[in-house]
Amino acid sequence: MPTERPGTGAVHRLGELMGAVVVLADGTRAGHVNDVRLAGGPGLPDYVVDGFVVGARGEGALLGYDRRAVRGPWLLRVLVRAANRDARYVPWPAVRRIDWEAKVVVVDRLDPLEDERPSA
Amino acid sequence: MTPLRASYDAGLHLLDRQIVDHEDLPVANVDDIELLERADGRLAVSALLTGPGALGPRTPGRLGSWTVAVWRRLRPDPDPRPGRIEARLVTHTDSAVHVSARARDLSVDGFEQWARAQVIEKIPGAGRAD
Repeated sequence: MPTERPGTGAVHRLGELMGAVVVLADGTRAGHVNDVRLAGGPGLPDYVVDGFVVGARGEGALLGYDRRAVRGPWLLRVLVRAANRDARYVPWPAVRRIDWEAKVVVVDRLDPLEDERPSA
Repeated sequence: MTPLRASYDAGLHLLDRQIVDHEDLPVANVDDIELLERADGRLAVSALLTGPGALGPRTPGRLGSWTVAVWRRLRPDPDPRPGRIEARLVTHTDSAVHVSARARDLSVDGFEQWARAQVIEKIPGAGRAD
């Protein structure tokens, strides 16, 4: 059950999720939402939230260098990836609850961060 | 034409991108994305949001609060809403987000039009500006 009241037709903003605190079900703090992965198609209305890119320090998307498929100056890429080696991915099925007011996402587990592929 | 990707990391690939119309004329920036909670609990993309009313809440600290406060103060309507472009209008993405409509039909620059008429054009000398 991903939200407090699933299926309400509520309207949210993606910006409300960016930077949200991510905690495991046992209350352990896991980091912050650094990006929101969307997957689906064929049209943009068919895209849904596939999961969250989670970083320990919440520096945001970091120009994408924390994701392997993003190219850039190798030195910058290496440094940012080293600084964000703890970046993780939370697939949607592992999202237990979203508290929109408190900006907290409760999750069951953290997976390794893959390239920009949907979790299936 | 680059079709829609299999997946988007929204902050990396969509937020702050330029939106252009079917003639590649600039429309606005993607300042936020509206998500609709479906019956199955999934969050689906329903619209692109534009303007200070969308960017302000994303901007941390006092700057964000001030952006929203000034935008609200300057808008004539009591409950202003950010510009909104239906997700179904997005045709493809590359470095920009392309929509099928004409820029002037999207009505997302209401704040700019109002500010131009009510503020900018009243500044002495504004008539000579192009």
